[in-house]
Amino acid sequence: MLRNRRIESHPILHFQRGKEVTIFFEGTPIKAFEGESLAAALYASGIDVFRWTPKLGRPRGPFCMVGKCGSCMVEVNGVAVRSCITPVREGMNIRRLRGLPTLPKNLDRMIEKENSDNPFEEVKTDVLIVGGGPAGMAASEVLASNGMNVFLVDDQIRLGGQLIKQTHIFFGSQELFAGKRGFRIAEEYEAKLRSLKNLHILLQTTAIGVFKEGVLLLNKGKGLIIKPKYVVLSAGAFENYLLFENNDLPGVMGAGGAQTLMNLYGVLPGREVVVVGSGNVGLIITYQLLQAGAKVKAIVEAAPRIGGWFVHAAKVRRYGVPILLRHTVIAAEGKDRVRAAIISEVDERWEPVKGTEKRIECDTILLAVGLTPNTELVRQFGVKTVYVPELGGLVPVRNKYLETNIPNVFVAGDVAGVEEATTAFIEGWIAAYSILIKEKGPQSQYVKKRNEYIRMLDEYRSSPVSARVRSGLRHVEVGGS
Amino acid sequence: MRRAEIAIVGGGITGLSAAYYLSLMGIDNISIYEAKYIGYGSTGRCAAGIRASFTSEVHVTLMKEAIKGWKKWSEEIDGVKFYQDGYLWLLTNDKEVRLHKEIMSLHNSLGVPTKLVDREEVKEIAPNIVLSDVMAALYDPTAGKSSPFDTTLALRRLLLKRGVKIHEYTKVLRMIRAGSKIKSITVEGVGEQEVEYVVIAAGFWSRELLQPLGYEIPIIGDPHHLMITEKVSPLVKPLVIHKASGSYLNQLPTGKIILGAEYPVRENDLELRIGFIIKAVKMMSRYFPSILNANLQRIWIGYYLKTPDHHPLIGFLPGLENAVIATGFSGHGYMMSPIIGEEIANLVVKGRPRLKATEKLRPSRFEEGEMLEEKAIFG
Repeated sequence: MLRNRRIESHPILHFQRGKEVTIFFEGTPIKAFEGESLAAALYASGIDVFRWTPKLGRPRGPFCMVGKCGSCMVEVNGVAVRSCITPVREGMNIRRLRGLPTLPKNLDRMIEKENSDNPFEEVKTDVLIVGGGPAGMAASEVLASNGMNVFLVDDQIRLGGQLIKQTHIFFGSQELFAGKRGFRIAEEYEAKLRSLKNLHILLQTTAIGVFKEGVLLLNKGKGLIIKPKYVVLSAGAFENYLLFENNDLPGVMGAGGAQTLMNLYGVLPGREVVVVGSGNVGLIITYQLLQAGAKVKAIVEAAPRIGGWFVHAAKVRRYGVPILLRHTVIAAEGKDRVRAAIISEVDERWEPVKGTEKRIECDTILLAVGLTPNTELVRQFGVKTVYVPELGGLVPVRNKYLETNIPNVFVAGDVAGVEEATTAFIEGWIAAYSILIKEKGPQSQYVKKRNEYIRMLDEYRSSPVSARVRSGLRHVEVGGS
Repeated sequence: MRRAEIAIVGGGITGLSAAYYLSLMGIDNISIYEAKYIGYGSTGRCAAGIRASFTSEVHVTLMKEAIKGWKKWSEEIDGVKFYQDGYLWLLTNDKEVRLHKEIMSLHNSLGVPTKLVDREEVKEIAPNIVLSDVMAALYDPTAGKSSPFDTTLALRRLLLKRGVKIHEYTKVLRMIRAGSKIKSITVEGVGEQEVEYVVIAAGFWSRELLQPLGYEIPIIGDPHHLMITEKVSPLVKPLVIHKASGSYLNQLPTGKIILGAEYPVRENDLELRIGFIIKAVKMMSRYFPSILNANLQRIWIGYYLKTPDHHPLIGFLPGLENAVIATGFSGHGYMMSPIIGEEIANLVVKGRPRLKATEKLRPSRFEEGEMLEEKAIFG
């Protein structure tokens, strides 16, 4: 039987849902709200299995919730889509995807102007910014309010990147949004951006690739070739997976994916949860799950110590959530949905120790095991990358002004090394002032601002918590003219 | 002192296949040197098609042998699969139809059973096709496809098991000559390595390796774009070519669709073009409109290595008794690889190839004025 997973009361969040609409899942009417993603609406109605895989017929449900994995693909009116980045619309007919998607005959992505040599519109602009999280928003604001013509593109339904699902309160200085919750920061910043007339915001738009003719964007199925003078790449990062038996069962989800469901859409990811990873993400999601009314059975951590900040760990411990160090998940059990997690101790070489297996009944396993910078586009631009584990994987080499080896191509935020929203904002500002200085000359107000932000970033990173980041940056930060 | 070895320069399909046959002939001191990784060059960038329907006798002979080889590899090498799904050339004007009637006769006379099929038959072979302006098609039921990634990885595994040394990210910087022999090679990060034989199968990069020795081999790199979609359910079995534009579509057994088109760019101009996407999609969506709904996954450029007569170079380098070259396949190196590898092994072990056709491909043919003829170089 399907069950409603919507969170009806929450101590700090008030979910403002859009107009109610009806969609049809394999013929059954389902309640949904305008403005939410199809994946959220289906999941809220108790649907676990979104698709069956082509080769082994395995069930799959949402994992990343940001369009990066394909695990939540369904057929909408005969077209296979990633349901997590598809907004609901009244009357949609949804079917589970069985095997490979069949290409539909109705041509809703028909290339326009069939007979012309170039069916795509071409646009020249000063700056193209790819990724509308904190870094991209910060850069957009500075550039557009200083007279530059800016295109900001993002493949999600909403602007704000990961901020829109962050419910914790930021600390630090006023300029860095102290005292505000992440989603509120995103809302306020978006309002500011919407008032800038030089700024063109394109959501649900994928930057497909870098070509001789320009950067190819796909905006809701429509092609657009953009020729920018400067580029800021701020595409963020994606969640890491973990290898264990049945790790593809519905109910195994990225912690970030679960945050999207819970904090953005007000949908409870599960009732009884095992969280894997005790970094800040693992600790914070645990606390948020408790707030939303779920039970967290355990946090499992392979390392011999807790990864995140002490304050967060202390909080979840006060709620009685056990943090099992030197443990890992070795299997999930269940048929169409997780029923239990099998955990085990690990030895010094991080190998599971036979005979130490324990079974924890749960319906959800959340993976909070780190992020990898989303560098596909960075590399397509020809930017040099190096592998730096401290920063999450392959990261672009750049100078302290965030310009890469490809002139006029800048990076900012998690794509340049996994850190956090605050540093992403600062990097966005630094990149923006660097572009202004390149374009308009070293005017003192720009240079002054940039120096301030560089100092602010150094200060922010001077705490012991940033030691790893500092050591990682030594491998990618070069020169700086 | 390390033992002198049989050094294969280039870890593409040609080098791997050569190593395989040398190993089968009992050679146990083989090393493959690859500057990047296995399949980095033209092999990993090819469109995965395999056919014997060529218009020169040499090509047909070699490809018939190669297809036998592909069938054998499918049976004998774990992980290699050959799918005999056919090729279909769509013909859209009278002139093409007339020409292909002649080409069919030529194929048939050389033992390749292609046939000219009418619109109805085209629809039977490819039920999802929209016939549009198709007048007829040339169908080759013996042609097929095979994944270059599966094949190279399968060969890599097998060769390692058989004791072949595979050095990836290891560039051969130069070859050192002593009289009529290559005495040794200089390997980046390793130093000088004595060689008994050297096989040059470095594709585009063969030219720069040979220049210092005074060999100007007549190959040019002709960059070709390809693109591939996400996996979708079966749309069409044979590889379909729109003859007039040189555009083609090849759905792989995984469900992904490769799209190609003639889109000429200069040898060193490797920037990807949106114009290519537009051309390939525009041409092939005329016959398969639903591909407009597929998501593009990747796009890349690989070299066709062209010689003046569009036939490869296989044989001893003039004046050298222990250096065999095999390159210049005009985009057909992957499909030909089973027979080419075998012939390289024959050259090394027995001093001459098994087939007369291979003899005709000797590198000295240009100086000797014995160029070959080939009219169909696409797909």
